[in-house]
Amino acid sequence: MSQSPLGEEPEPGSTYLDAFGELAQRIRTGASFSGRERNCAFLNLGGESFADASAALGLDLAQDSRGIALCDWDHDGDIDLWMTNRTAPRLQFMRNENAAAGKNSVAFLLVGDPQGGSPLDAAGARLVLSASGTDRVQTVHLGDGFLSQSSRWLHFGLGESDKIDRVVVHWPAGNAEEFEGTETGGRYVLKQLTGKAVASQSKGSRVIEIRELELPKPTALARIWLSEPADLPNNLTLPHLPNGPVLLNLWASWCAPCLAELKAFGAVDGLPIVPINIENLEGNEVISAKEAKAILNSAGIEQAGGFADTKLIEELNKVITDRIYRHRNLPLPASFLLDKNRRIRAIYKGKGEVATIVADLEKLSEVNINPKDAAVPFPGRWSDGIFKKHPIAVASTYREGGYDDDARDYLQRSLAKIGGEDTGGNLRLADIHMRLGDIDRDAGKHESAINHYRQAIAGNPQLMPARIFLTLSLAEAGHSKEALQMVANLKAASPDNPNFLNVEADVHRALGDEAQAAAGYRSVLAINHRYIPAIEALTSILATSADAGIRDGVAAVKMAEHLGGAPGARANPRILLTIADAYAEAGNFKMALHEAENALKYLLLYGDDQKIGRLQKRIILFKEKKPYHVGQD
Amino acid sequence: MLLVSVRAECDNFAIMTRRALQALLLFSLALLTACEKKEPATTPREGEAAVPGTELELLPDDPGEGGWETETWSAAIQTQLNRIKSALLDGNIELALAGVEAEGCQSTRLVPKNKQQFGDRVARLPADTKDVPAESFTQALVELRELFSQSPRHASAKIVGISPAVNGKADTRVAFQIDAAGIQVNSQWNCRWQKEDSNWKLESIRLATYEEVRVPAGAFADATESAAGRDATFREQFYRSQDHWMARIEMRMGIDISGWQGLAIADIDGDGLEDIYVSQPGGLPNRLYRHRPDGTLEDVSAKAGVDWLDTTHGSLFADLDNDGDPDLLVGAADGIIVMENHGDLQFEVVATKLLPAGLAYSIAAADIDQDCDLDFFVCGYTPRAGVSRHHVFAHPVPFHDANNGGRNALFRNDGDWRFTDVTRATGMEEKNTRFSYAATWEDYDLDGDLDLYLANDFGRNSLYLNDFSQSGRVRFTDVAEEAGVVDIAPGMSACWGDYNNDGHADLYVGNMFSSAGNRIAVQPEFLAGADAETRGEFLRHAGGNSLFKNTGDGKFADVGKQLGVSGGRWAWSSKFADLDNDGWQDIVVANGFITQEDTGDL
Repeated sequence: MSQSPLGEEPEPGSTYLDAFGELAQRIRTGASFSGRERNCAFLNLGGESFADASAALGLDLAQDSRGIALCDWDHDGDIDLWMTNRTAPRLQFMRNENAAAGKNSVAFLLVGDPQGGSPLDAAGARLVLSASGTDRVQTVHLGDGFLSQSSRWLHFGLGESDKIDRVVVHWPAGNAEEFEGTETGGRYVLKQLTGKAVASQSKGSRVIEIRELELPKPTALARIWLSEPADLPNNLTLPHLPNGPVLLNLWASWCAPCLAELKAFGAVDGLPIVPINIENLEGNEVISAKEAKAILNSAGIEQAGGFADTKLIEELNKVITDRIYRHRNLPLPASFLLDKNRRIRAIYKGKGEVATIVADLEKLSEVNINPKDAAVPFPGRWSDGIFKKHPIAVASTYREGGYDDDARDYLQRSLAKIGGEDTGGNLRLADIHMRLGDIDRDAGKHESAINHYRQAIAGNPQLMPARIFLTLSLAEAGHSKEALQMVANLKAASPDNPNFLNVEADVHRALGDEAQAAAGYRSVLAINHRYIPAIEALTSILATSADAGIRDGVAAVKMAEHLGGAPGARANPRILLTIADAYAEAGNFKMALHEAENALKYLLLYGDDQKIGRLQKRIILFKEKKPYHVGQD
Repeated sequence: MLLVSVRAECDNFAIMTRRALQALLLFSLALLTACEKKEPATTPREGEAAVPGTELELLPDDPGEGGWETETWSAAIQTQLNRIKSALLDGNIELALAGVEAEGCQSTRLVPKNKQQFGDRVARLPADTKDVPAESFTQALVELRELFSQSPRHASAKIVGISPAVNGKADTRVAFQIDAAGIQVNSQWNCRWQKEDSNWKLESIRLATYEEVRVPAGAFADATESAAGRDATFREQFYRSQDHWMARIEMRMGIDISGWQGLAIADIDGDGLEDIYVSQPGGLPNRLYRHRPDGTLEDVSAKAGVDWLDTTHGSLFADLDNDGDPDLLVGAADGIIVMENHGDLQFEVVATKLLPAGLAYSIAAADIDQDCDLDFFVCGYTPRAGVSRHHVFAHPVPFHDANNGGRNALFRNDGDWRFTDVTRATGMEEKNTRFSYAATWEDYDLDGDLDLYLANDFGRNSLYLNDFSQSGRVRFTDVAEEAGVVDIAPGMSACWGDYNNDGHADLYVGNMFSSAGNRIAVQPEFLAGADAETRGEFLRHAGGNSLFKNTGDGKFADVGKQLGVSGGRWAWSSKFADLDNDGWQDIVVANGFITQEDTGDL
């Protein structure tokens, strides 16, 4: 089964799929499936049991209902329902006519305050209302049920209670706050940290008079505009078709609506109609050409038209069933609008509207029309182009979620699809290899990463990140000679480029030569003293090198103070830990602990267990007043 | 004869071909929930006809095929129950009952004399009643009918259990319901039938449960026409069924027959009146309706820039940037469209989140890490189906405990309209592909952070316990098993609410209740050879909705059956709501899968 937007279909063949297919086919052909079920409503009898009151309450709608959203639409003090249905009406409003409403309820809108640790929408906030010795509790939910979101207003029925004793809100971060000033029948806004209920200013909409639902009668008449023209097979028996667009019209002499339709068509000058009689399908002559012509002439139609055979009917029907879910008999009359290239563009089931058909004929020559827009009954917007769906974007999405295996798999399948023929140019191929290299490098699969980076460079020699990461991967894999050669090549073009100098230092560090690396980072900083990656790496070496001759706590702390000022550094656990290491090396364990615990706070939220474990070990070390040096864990 | 229109005589999927039934033990429960009513055979409309050669071929329908003898009996007994139903509706009881009763039919009263009152609206047969007084069957029905001053609106009598009895007789449990405006009666009848010639006749009927509900007439009124009927887009689009549009819009536009489209309510323009956003199937534009001061709807979809033509299922309003107005999340085929509310009824796409391994269904937002902004969870029900979007059915394996669905996603709000997928980082990746339909957040254990419940189709639900308040780590562990809320069933919806006012959030889960499934899953032929546990899980699949009472110690007890809220039919959305302002949370359930009306097609 496809897990991807590449567009493969699930594999057919299993018993399950056969059965699902069989079921689906029966539904396509008009069968109901658990249909005509009435919605349910259960009345709560004091928490002890419920009574099925669906019908008595008038909520036992026979619609195929789906979503339910609650709100007191008219602010009259009771809960109304908006529902979505599969059957008509597909959006339905059930108003609560509770006569006592307005006296025996109260409603609250909770508004959080980030100062109090809550988002404004206050999702998850819990309100406890005490009245007549009973606590009633409701929570703010943003989305529940099925595909539904009810109002954020919390509506409390109060039964016999005519007085509210206490209103306490437990905000999502856990802090409780009591609100004063609420009375039965009110609607209040409760703003966090204010402690005061404020009566809502909104008066609510006017209560509307109930009018009976007037659904239109179902109709078989349908116009289907195809988003992609449908070709008809060449070997069909069709009468001679005039040049230009034509309207194939299926008719029979015994079909009254056909005759009426023909008459309407006949009255339109120049309508390119080609009438096709269906009475001689079996090959025997039920109606003669002469008889047919006479009927057509009396309808004002000059064209002689022709006779359909079963093959023609099958093919025309197939055009519909291939595109339209509902499988129904092809009705009479039916018409098919063909463009000048003899491709079907529109289908009219039942009697066609002359005005619509004339307009559709004109539409055939319109060129600047989006075929999808033309094929839908109402205007709107498509999400086409809004989502980035090229392989790189899909792979990034997977990687963002930590699904590196899926990202690799997806990119490899994309490569397989492209094959040697990269229609998007070598650039795309190179980009895919580049990402594959990144994934493998992060996974510590250096040789595979090296291979992908090489292919990326082969595809696009200008792809600088591929060169840099190839260099680093080579160093990480211990290929010192080639890594250093790559560095030399990079530097040859621009010797003072701090990026390349930094890569050189990284290579030395990866190869275990920390002295060279430290010198390298210093030369980067000599050119740009704010070069953060170099500051971070140098701080780390000065603080944690296994070589006592390289370590320098005082210098490390000085660097660390720069590092702490980098944008985002105070919320970055890796940088915070490097700063902590620097303090520890300088003997300032109080600061070291402080920074390490800061780092832990951030790492705990979403960090992985391994990193958290390492950091916790480091904290123990600092508590024992010991600095951390590479290789000691 | 050319003017032939062939149609299904019956839609009963329980009785598909032998091959389907035998090969598909696993799927049969779902099949068996199929309707048991016949559609009226349509006659060709005057002057219109089918083109010969395009009629549909139908499978033979024989309930006995596949070895379900009791299903053959059920079908025959149902026709007798239907006659009892019509007798009550028509009021012509004696006449309609000819041929239903066996000689010497034994009956109890069907309306008890001694009723136990529950408040002023509900009266029941006391639970400790041993013997309901005898009565002639005709007289028992006459008394039942006399509860109604006018003709009852509907009646239904469904066989929810059948077992063979001595001498080839059959015992059935029948769920019976009859109602008129403001009143309804819900009963269970235990009936014994004996076969005479080809008919089953009623040998005895005993009232097992009785519930009479009276509420002021017209408690809810359909105000759709008043609120929305004057808007042209509403009339043109929503007054037509999905089937209507399925006949006019190509499948490749994304439309399918299921109608899994939801809605979201929020005050988008700060006028104190709540507005509605509603999803539509592919090819029809989503609509945003503003709430006018006069209570009616005004279409502002195009102006607001939210009239997406793509198939969308779920959407959610959430103030993602804490500026005081609700922004909009829309679940499209490719992923989530994030739109910022600029005020003045203008929304702008500010971010998209691709969902490469799931198709978005319900969305639910909460601040999971207490950094004061809203994060959100998206149910990814099914793996992306590729180009053809018209598959109505997912492909669960195994059917009753599937884990091959689409991938759900939890997005962390990083500010500036950046969102990061933290599903895996927070431990939610485990059991993350269970055909999740619905999600809802609640601090059910009152430990100060928000936990998530997921209703999953075809199997086990999940309860993700958030560890944040304990450890400072946003880590979720599925504790559904320990908490007792696995609810192995086709989960469709979930909502939290405190039904017993004890201060702890309880949980209501929408599933499927199937009379046929309940009949069949207990028969020896069903899954012959399977172990008791598996058979039990299948029976559970047809068992209906669950009400999980929070016992306050991190555990729940399913009291749905005991409290009478499990029979929600083929449920979709479900929701706690105090409908009558008595201070106790009632429950509403949307249901019904596919009802195809005669839409005028031939």
